[in-house]
Amino acid sequence: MYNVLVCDDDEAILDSLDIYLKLEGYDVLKAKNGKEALDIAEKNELHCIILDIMMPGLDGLNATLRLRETKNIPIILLSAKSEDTDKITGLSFGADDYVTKPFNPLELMARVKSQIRRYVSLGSMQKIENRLVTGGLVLDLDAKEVLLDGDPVKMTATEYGILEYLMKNMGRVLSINQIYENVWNEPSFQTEKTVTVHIRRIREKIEINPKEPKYLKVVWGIGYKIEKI
Amino acid sequence: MDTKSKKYNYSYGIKIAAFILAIVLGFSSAFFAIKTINNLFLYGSSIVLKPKDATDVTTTSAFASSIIDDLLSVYVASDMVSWEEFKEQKYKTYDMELQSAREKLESLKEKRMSEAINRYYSSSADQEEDALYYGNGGDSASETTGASLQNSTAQSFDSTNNIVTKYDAEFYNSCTENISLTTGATVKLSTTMTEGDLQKSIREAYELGISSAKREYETRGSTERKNIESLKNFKFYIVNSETGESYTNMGDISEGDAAEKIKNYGWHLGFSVSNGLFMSSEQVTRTTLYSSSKSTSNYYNITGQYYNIYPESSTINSVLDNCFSNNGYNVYLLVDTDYPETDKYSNLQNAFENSGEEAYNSILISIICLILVIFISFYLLFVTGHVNGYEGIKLSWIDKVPTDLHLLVSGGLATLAFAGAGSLAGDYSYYFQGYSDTEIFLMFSAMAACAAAFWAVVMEWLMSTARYYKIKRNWIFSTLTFWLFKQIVKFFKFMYKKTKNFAGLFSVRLTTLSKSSLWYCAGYIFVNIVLLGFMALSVHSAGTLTFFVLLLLAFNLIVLSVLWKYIRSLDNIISESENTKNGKPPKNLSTEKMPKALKILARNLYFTQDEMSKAVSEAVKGEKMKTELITNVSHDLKTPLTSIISYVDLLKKCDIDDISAQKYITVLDEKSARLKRLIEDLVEASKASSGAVTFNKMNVNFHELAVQAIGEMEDVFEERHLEIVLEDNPSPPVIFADSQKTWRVIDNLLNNVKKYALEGTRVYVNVSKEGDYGVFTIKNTSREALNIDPEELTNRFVRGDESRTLEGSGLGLSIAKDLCTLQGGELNLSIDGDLFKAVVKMPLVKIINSQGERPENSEENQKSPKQIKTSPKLKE
Repeated sequence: MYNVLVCDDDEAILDSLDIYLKLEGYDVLKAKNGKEALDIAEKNELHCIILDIMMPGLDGLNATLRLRETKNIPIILLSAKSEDTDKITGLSFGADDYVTKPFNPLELMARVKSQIRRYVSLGSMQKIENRLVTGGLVLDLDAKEVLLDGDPVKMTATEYGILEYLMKNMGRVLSINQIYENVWNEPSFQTEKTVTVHIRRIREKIEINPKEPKYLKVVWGIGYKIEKI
Repeated sequence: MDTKSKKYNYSYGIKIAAFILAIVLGFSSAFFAIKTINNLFLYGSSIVLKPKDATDVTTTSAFASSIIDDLLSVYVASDMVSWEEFKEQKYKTYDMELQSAREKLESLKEKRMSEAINRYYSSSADQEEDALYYGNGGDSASETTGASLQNSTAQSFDSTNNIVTKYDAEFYNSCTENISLTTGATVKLSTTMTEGDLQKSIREAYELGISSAKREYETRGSTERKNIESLKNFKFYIVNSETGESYTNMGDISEGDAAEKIKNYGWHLGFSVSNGLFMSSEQVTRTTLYSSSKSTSNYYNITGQYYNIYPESSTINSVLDNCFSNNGYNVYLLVDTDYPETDKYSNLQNAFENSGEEAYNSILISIICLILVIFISFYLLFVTGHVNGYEGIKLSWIDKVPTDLHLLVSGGLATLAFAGAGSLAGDYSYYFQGYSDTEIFLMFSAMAACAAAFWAVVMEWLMSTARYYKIKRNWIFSTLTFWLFKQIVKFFKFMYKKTKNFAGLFSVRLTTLSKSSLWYCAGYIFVNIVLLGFMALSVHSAGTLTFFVLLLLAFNLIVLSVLWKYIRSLDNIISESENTKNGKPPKNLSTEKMPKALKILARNLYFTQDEMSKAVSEAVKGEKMKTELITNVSHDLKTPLTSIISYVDLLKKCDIDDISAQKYITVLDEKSARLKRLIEDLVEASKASSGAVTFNKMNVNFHELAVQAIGEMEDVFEERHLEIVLEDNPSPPVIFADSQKTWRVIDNLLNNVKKYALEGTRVYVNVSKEGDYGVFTIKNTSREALNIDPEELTNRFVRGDESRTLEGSGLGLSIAKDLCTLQGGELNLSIDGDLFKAVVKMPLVKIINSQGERPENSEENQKSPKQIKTSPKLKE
């Protein structure tokens, strides 16, 4: 049993999340503001925290800061603020994920699951020598296998090739032509569509919400990259 | 040169050429006119009126003048008046002259004496006892008066009035006066002169005059004799009617023979003592005889002086009368009008014969030239002020000269030219026979040049006036007089204003810097001058001088320090304004000690600073409020929506058997999802339209972006059976834009296509360059008829389907358009039947490398877009 702390000033949201999390089989602790959340986190062993940002008293961002002083529990921020800058701010304050309101409850559950799994299995995970890691995404170069939060992800050879090339150049933006030439090993000509289609498919397999990718990101007009987390 | 520019050529070259041509033509016109006038003057109007008949020169005044000259020569050469007679005649005037000199001496003495008496009394009135008494001696008593000078106490009595006088002897004795005699000699009269002295000096002067007259008499005689020898066609015979003594160049013939002989010649006359003119040829008319000639050269004056001929009666008749008849001589003259030999008469005839045709030609040339000059004048007046390649009228530098001054100078010069021509003409008409042909030519040229100069000066002035007229500038307002008048009026107005408030005259409010500095400068100079003046006055006293030097130094130091303070104040204000420009906070200068004008400047500067910072902070506040409002509204909308979505989802999970209830839940689910989308779009649209969006601009490969955007939508298009045709582009445009926002634009357009395109059709996408823009074009066939203005589509909440049944907020195109416009691009929609076309234009990268090349032209950037890799600042 994993303990999840949900903190939101809106009662209805709090209740609905309680229901969802319980359906997923988590124990739920509820807090109405940052202060309560800190108290609960102090007293209980938690495995994930869902924090609303805009709350009276201590808000989500400051609560995150305080929590991070002592704990490395996964923190998912919830907010109605959907600007890029808001997301960047939230993540840089120490949160692990950022979900904008109104959210899809199922997506949020998937994220919670992903965070908890990574958090708890991190220590017990067997050591793989030759691998590339970003966040919960692991590329096992020996086994030619992709693991997402510990679970293997099925991929075609081309998809694996693209992912491998991207992960080897983690953080670097690679253009469509570069990807094609390196993965297919032939000069690119009118190949854009092929690459973009594969990228989309990879994203569907490794991302919780492919519209808001966490790992495989689009840099518009330039190319694609794997975010280093 | 093409005809167009020929028509309106206002080049300086042509104008100057026309001006010079006009001067030359004017010169010619004047020259020939003068020549014509000269001919008319010499030969009379007959040469023009009847040039063919007027073949005889003998009727002309030129001929008459020649005859007079030669008659005078004969008169002098004949020694008709012997030296003895001449001398006697001269001495006739001796007694007269002596008498007049005597009278002059007397009046001199009288006048000087009264002056001397006055001088005595005015200079030594208080020394009367010591003064000497002198009688005012009479003419004959000069000697005795002189003797009595020795006697210091003697009294002199005036012979008539017995008035005793005292006078200033020294002054009196030194008085002299010069008188001139008719012989031309000068005699010095003195108050000390006696009658003997006077006679002696007059005689000496006379003898001197006579001896020089004799020399003149002899040389003149021989000159005239030579002159007579040169006469070939002119013959004369003069004979003394009493003694029969004759002087002639006809040879040795008697008077009767001479009278007979002359009748054979074309022009002749006989003039006797008793009968006057008793025979003559028909050409000897009254006009010829009595036409006067003032032309005789200077020798005429000498003959006049020595031979008592009066210049004013110098006609043939008067000469014959005065010189010959009165001396008892009969005269027979002839001129051989066949002119067998060359002399001045034959020359005269030749000139006369030619003069007719010459006069005609002269008149013709003169008139033609004059017409041309007038024509050019009008042309110049027409073109003046026009300049090639310049609309309207251009004033010349000379037009800046006040017009009245200009008129004065021009008028002066014109008068000078006119006067020059006039004086030349006067000289010529008086002495014309004394000039050689070359001299006459030069003289005429000079007169013509004067006329041409006159034209040039007048023309220049007229052209200036024409320019004034063309630009409708009032001639009067440009005069110096008017300006002066205006200044005077201004001055009086000023004085009136000042004197109205008399105190104000001295306490002018020193508000403007220029005004105050003027007053201060005046004061400074005044004080310095006064101090320097005192210094100059006290050069001799070291103490006072030192005091004033110190005072001067102190004053100047004080002025300098005050000046220094002012300049530093100004410096402070300048640095303040620099701060304002750079947005630094104001230093709050103390304006108390500043001069008034600077104080105003500082105050205004602070006022501006305040206003500016107020405006800036208000603008910032407004912007913040706008963004906050949008954020808050979206938060307040999104929070309940989150619950709705969650609970609808939970409802779906519930075990509900009621089919209607399940249906309701589905509707709720759909609508809440739609509401979510609407809210998101609404927030975005309001941000975009209010401009509350920040752009992270970078170099973006527009083609690659399109490929990526399409790639993201690939599956959706496949679902709809839409085939996207993206035309390949070998040189993709690189735009300077926010890649995320640009993708939003493209994504919105693609979504639009997805929603409204007819299934199973092709969608054409093309990315290209057009001028300074990268252009993305998307074309599709609409599913439904588009009865809408394409402009309207970008309005908010306007949708292609009027029933609004399809999903979509109706904000997509509006957002796209706003995002394009905010980034300096544009979005244009067009509808052609069912064909829908959207064109996105985004500005290309301007300058990227240090060479200043346009990157889209450089090879590297065209080959591979990774070259312009810029680490994207935005993370998704």
